[in-house]
Amino acid sequence: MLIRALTARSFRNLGQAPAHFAAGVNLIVGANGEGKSSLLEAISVLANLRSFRTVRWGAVARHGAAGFALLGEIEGAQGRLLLEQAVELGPPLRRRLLVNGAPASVERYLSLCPVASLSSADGELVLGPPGLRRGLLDRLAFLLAPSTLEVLRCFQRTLRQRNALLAGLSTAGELDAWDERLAAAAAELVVRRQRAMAALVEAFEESYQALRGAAFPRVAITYRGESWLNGSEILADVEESYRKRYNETRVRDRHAGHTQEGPHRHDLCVLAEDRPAREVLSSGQIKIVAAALRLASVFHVERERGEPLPVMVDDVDAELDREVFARLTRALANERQLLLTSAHPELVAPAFPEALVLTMQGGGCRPRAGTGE
Amino acid sequence: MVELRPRSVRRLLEQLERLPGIGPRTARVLVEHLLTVDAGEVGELAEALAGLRREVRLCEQCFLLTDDERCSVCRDPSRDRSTILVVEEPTTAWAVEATREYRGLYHALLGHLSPLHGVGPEDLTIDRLEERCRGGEVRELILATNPTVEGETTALYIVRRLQPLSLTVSRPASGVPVGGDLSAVDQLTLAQALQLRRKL
Repeated sequence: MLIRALTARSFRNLGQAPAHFAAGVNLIVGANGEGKSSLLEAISVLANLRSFRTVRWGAVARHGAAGFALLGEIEGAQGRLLLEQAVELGPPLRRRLLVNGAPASVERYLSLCPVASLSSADGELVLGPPGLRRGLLDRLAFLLAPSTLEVLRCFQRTLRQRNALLAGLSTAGELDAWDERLAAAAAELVVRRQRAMAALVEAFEESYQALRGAAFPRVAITYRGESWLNGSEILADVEESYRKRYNETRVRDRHAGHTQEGPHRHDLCVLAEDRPAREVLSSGQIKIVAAALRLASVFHVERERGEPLPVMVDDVDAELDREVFARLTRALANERQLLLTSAHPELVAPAFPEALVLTMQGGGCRPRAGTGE
Repeated sequence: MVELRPRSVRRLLEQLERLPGIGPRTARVLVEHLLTVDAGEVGELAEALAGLRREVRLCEQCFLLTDDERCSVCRDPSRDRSTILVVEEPTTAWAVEATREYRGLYHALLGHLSPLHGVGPEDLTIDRLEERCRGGEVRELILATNPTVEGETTALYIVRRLQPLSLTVSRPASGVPVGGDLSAVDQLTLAQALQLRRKL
């Protein structure tokens, strides 16, 4: 799968002229503030409907604009496809998604061209709150089975409803009904996460092995749910466990005003030498572990789909020391499309003699003559 | 800029734009149309709009929309009084009735359970449904609430609450559209259709 071209309208400081990309390595260079990261961010929003820099849509639209639009051309096993999205900031926020000119569901649109991005914010994936790691796992579960998105929405909606009920007045009969729905939704989500986790553990071993240096400690990832689940993966068993548990902890939950157990509290734990990674690893090592986590997901999805997926690395040289950078490029180098940004092309370019070099200036992007041929 | 639209036109545009599914462009097209057609036709439309709220009420038995105390279904002696089909909104019953496949009675809940919006069982017509079921004639309940988190939970609540009455309770099957292409059906619907497959 490749990103062939991208045209942006009112997206940060990007110009309106289309940017074209090569199938192999694309090295996007330019001084700070010229729009390198914004170009990668636009690709991320185009393909994944999310930015790796912000969760605020208002921040990606050009200052004063009522919204933004992206048009991209991708190419893969299904041939060439045109992806279009138009976002009106609102409120309420409205997003229109089109594939080859026809309206598409979020599930279909998101499944077409998942793009992985590595950036300076990735250390947070290890150090930050569990929600970020759950997000990585849920995204993998979605890419393995797109119906996971609806399962996740259903769980979140049911959880909000039960929490509203716990915070107010309710009859036992009403709470029974919501408990039963929440138990079913929680079980469905947990089982899907466990399946995704099994795949991620295997792929992480491979990706971490490829990126780690000689002095790096042993790192393992595990899914941490409630201990009473005993790691069961049988849907009916997990559902029954949650049903019983929600019933037992009702008084406590009512007192707290919210649901204290469930997949919304689970974590993907990163352990170094059997201890929390943040206690053992250096900040450099943490970035490598985060990159290995992101790549593990990519590697597994690539195997499932039978095609390589694009990988973007923002500010590639600033993030990684020379040795790690060499290992990363080795791990990524094959048929994959790479989109790398750098403010110091003289350091990065020698590693990619075949790369198409794109120069960003004032939000515009043009190929440097004689590259990428 | 000079405001060229007369006050009466602006007033109508404002009212139309408040309706669901009508934006400024559609509102303008509607107003243009109303200005060109016969005045009598416009009068009929105005009368129909005014009559809607003046004359329409809820059936005292099943809460479908009606012009009388009881709706045409509740008044019809040929309907099967042993079965009640439960819907969230009265208008859903119109779609069911249009299939001509259903001969029983209806019951509109007038919403669904939603603690987020402060809607509990007492805000719906569940008490009245229970009364109807306790009447002795009813044997079967078809819970046709919407296949959403709230609709499913409302159905679950009703099932639990009416359990002591030992009625036959069912829910319409969810699955693939008739005459459609299986590959075009979304995964969750297809998964559910497989789960609820029937024997041939």
